Amino acid sequence: MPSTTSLGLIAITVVVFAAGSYLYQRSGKFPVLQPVLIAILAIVIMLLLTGLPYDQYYEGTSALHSLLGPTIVALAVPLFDNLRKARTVLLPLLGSVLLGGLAVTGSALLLGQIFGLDFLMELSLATKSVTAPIALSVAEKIGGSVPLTILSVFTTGILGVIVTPSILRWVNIKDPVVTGFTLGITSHAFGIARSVELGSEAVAFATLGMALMGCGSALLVPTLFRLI
Amino acid sequence: MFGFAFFIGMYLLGNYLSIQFSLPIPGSIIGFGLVFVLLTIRRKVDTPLKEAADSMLRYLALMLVPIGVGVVKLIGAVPPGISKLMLVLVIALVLGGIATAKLTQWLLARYLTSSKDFAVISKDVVFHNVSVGAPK
Repeated sequence: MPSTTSLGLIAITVVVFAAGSYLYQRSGKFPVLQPVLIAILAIVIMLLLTGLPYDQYYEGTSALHSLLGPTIVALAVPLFDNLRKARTVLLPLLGSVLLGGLAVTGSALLLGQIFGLDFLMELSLATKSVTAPIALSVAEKIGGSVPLTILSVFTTGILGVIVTPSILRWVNIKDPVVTGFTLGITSHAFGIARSVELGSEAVAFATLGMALMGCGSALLVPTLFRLI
Repeated sequence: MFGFAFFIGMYLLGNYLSIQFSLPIPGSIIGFGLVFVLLTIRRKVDTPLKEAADSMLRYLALMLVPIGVGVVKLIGAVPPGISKLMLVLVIALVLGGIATAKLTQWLLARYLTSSKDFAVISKDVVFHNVSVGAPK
């Protein structure tokens, strides 16, 4: 692919992402209107209209996504900062990520079995509540399908934003710390965006929940799948 | 710039270890773990690392776009059973959310009662927020 085509594709991606960010800000940070979702939708429409094959688009934008790995590594910095600040309640938080994470992933896998989903769908359920970059790394390790993984991760994120806070109120949980942490564990970055409405404390615990759920899943999911 | 090179280096090292010892853990997570251990030993985040991490994480969501567009492959060939997958995602989200919230509430209450330190959560915690949303 000529480098001008590649640059053009990168420019289009950046522009639709910037437009997505603008819409998100203008909507008063409406959690469902994540810039990344708007950008993906716009590019999907563009590919369908122009007939440009996805593989060519993917190859052309490698300058963007090849930095994803190093950026996951950089996530260690905010996790370190947050854990240090939350060290007084670290033990119960780790306990609830471990047990809650098992409930989140375990219930999905079990339901998948009950409903008789095929193997690739079952694999995508294993990381449905994990933040997309980590979920994709895990999918690569366990031989999962990238489109299905993305679909499960984003669907869970969007649904979580819409239903989780009302469901938690329904079971009489009103503490912003607990709600934020749960949003982070079940709905990753979308959960963080939603917890913004619940205050800075909720955001903090949502961030921690997302990071711990991502790390825990990255360690446990491929290990358990290898044992099976 | 040093921080940027450092994170790339640790990612490459993680990838090398993951492949060399055929570990089940992705290379990026091994690199992540190595950096976390180094920070814990050092007990602080040096400025070049902090600056590089902040600027890279600001663009995390943008980097995800080309991969997310991969869902276009599902449009041409919708896999059978996709509606069942959606149903499972909804039920699992409700069950997992309730279980996690109840567990967190119970564990925090137990722990804080035993350590007799109720004010700890609200007073001590001011966090740094990373969001896979818009660059701030």
